[in-house]
Amino acid sequence: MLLSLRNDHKEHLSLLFSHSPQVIVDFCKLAIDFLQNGPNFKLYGSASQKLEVQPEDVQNCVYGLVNLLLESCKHKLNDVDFRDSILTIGFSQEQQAILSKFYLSKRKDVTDILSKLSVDEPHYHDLNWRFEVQVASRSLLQQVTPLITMDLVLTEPTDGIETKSGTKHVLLQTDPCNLVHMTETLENALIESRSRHSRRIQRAFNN
Amino acid sequence: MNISEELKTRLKFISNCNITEDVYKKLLENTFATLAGKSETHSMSTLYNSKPDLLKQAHAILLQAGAEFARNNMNGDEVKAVLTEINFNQNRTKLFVDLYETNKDDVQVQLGNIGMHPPHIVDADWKIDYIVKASNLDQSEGPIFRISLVSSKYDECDNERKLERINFSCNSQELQDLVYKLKDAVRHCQRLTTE
Repeated sequence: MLLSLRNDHKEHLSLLFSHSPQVIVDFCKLAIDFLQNGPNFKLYGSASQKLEVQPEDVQNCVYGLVNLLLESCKHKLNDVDFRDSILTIGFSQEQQAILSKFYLSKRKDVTDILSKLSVDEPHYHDLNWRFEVQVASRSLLQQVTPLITMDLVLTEPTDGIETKSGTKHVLLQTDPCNLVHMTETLENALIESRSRHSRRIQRAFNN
Repeated sequence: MNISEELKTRLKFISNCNITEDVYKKLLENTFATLAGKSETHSMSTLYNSKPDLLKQAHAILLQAGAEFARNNMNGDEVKAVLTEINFNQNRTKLFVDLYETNKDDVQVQLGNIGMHPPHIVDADWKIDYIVKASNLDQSEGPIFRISLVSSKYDECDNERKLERINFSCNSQELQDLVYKLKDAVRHCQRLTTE
């Protein structure tokens, strides 16, 4: 699959077409720095002085590179597709080699982050349980109430690009009867996911 | 017996007070209906007629006595002994003990529900999702299990039990892990009952 870029995106990248491989390497470094620390206008300013262009052009070019990386990761381009896309945009063979290296080195990290972005609800992390018998309470002195107290640990997505997610502990309890019911229900879900129907759908989506 | 002297003194008030047997019976039925968490069978305003203060006091004492007896898990005979000791006449004692015995379990369930509990799980819902495509990644992914645990929790503001959902998602391995841990707990419970 070939990546098709918007015209303004191509324009931003075109700044690099005429430059030496060393400049491309520097711009890749700027893009990596952007991914890790956000924009750094001071660096863009000094780069623009060296290349004798407007600071905005440098800035747009770095954004263009990052966008190129994101789009490529989003569409899961393989090496060959990425190379072809880069050459189609107008880069030379030599420049393409550098950009390919840049893509391959960052592909995994970016894909991981992108896949995390889509998760928007708490995710199961762990469950601890203990079995207790309540023998008395203020309002009922003599009793034998079996209880299962559970600590459900969920990871919660945080807002924005942050990859760190917080864990949340949910304290729950239930009686043996409901515990059996709940276990059976969830086990049914697991069995259902391995049924022929589910597997067929999964295969259809993977192709 | 764990019944305080104070309660006995109050009960004596009922054994001496001037209410008819019929009103006493209705009052008692209302008392146990309230304690068992049902709605009152007789309208209190029709019972009050000329002696509202007296009846209110009697009602309060009966409520306290019923709750206290159930709280201490007393059986019918023990209740009877207490009531006879403070000179309840036979008819009133019998009425009280009969109603007490029929409602005791319900009352104790109500009493057991009072207190501080974490949300109590009563049901679980699930659905299986497959992600075909997402806004930021062309990746089909699945199955993803969306689990919703239904828990019931006492809401202090509204004074009633309310259902609360705890939603989370997990993949196959994680659900397997969860089910395995729950089964472990079930096995433990079963072992306790067979021993």
